[in-house]
Amino acid sequence: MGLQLIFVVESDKKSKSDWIYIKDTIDYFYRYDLAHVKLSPVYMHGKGNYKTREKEIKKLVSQYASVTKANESKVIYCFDCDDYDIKKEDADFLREAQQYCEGNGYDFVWFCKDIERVYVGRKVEDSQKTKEAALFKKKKIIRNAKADQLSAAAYQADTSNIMKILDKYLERKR
Amino acid sequence: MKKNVFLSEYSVKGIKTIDQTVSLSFYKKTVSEPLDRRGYNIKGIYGMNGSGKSGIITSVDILRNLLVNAEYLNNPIIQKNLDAIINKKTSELSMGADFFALLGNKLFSFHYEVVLSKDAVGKYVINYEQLSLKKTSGRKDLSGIIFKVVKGEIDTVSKKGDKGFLQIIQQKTTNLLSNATLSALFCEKILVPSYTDRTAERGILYLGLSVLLYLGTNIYVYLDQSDEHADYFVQNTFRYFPEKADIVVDSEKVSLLKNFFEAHDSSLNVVSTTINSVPKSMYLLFQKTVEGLRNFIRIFKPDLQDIEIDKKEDHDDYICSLIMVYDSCKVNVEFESTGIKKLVRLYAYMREMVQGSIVFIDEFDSNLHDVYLCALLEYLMEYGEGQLCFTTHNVGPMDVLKRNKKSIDFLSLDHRIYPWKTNGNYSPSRLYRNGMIEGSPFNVDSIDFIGVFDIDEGDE
Repeated sequence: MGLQLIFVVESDKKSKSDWIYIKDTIDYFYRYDLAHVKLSPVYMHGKGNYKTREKEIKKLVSQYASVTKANESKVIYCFDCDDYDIKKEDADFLREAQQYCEGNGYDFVWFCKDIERVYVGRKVEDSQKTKEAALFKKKKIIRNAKADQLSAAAYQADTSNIMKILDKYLERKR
Repeated sequence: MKKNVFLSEYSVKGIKTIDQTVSLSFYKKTVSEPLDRRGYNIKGIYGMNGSGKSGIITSVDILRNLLVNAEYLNNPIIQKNLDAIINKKTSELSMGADFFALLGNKLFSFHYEVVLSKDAVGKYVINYEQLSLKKTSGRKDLSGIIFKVVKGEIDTVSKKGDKGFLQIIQQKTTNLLSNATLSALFCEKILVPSYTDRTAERGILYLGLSVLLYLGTNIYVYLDQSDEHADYFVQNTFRYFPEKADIVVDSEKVSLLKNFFEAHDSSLNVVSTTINSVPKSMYLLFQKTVEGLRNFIRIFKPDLQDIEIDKKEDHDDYICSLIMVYDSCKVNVEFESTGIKKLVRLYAYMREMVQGSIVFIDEFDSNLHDVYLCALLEYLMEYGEGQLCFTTHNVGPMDVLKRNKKSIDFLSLDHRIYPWKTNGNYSPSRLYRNGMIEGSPFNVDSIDFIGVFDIDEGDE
């Protein structure tokens, strides 16, 4: 039986910046069956498009199940919280996105306030995000990441719940 | 020309990274006569790098050598290679083959297995060998173990017929069965010296050994690396058969082997792209082969006018190299493109497949254009009388292969075979490329290479 983890991330296919941080987290903190776990990123090209990726997700799920019915897919949506604590529209967006995930049986991963602040420790300008993510990967900065910081239960600055979600499917190595 | 053996299953354990049994199935479970050879004559093995594809093909080459060459395990280079490629965890190499043989117009189903492991002095020897006739065969009364050799001693042997022959084979193979298979010794000690004993009756053991040897001589293996070391002419062992042998079972004379070897009248004439050492007695055959090769290469290079043979005498041989003749120039084949050289080397193997032999090719696609590869496969599927099993990374041929049955196997990273099963409108190539095939998730992304090729900044 195989497991496909579909990560729906905010960044675009060209930049892949969010996926760099998430893939590094998986590779650094987890061991998994290389032959039977499939990691599939889906790029939203902006968080506002989260509802428009259904077709792509369904295609991945049905393709994976087509080979053997025992194959299972899990969908994990990954969002930045942004200014949820000071801006009503950001808080509303986050709540709606969470409801959307719950309604569809998807996992909801958040980065507070954004993925760069969680992994790099500071806000990064949009134009620098790709470069910063590449540098993060190149310099192996994931080694500085703390599992506690990535396993938060509630929104808190510079934290995420990503490892709480990943723990459900993958085995920790550290 | 249709040949009389068909490989229905092959399994291996203990080569390179393969530490559990990997089985390739070439035919449906329920067998009825006549065999549907065409529908099952081709198989492509796909797998990620390091999944063990080449290991499987290499093991077939070892099996083939064990079956036909009694000196194989006595070669120190072979011993060194075996030491390098036999899996350290299993510390032994097991190979098994299920095959059909058409004997006396009836289909017989055999199972053969052989295990290599190290002896007390660290040499790889045959630890176990067994040939049996399955119950599904044309003559159910003959089913059971034909022979079993354990640690160099004949442990079990069929008592059906072979009155005098059994004694002869025991006598001729004493102390030799650790270093050579019974079929290879049968060839070397009995067939080649034309050993005859008029009082000996040929029974089921004789039949089994003949069929096993026939299987071995009908398997051809193309490995990219070992190509230049191939024997240019593999002798036709079956010319040594003194007559169309009758087999005696329970005093009943049955002509099971009659016509069996008649189909085996050709031999593999591998053409090298460097030097061909051709016995003078076989030069005409070599010339014919080169003619066929010219016609084959012309399909890809229409401006090729001829292939000339540049020959020099060397005692009983001619040392030959090939010159490609074009409108405006002549080029030694050695200086041809890598792709053309590959086609030159592959020619003899494809010809064997078309003529009915069982051919294994490792990395069929390397250096070959996708379009050529697909066209060749389509031809072999339609016109090949034999069997072809090849490894490849090229997904292009999948859409050709999927028309046949049992024609696409995926070898997973953990060395399991997942055969492709037709699944609605899903295309195997698309699913495979997307990493949707079980065991081949292709979790490799462009981002994984970030930092890998940097030389000035290392780990921090």
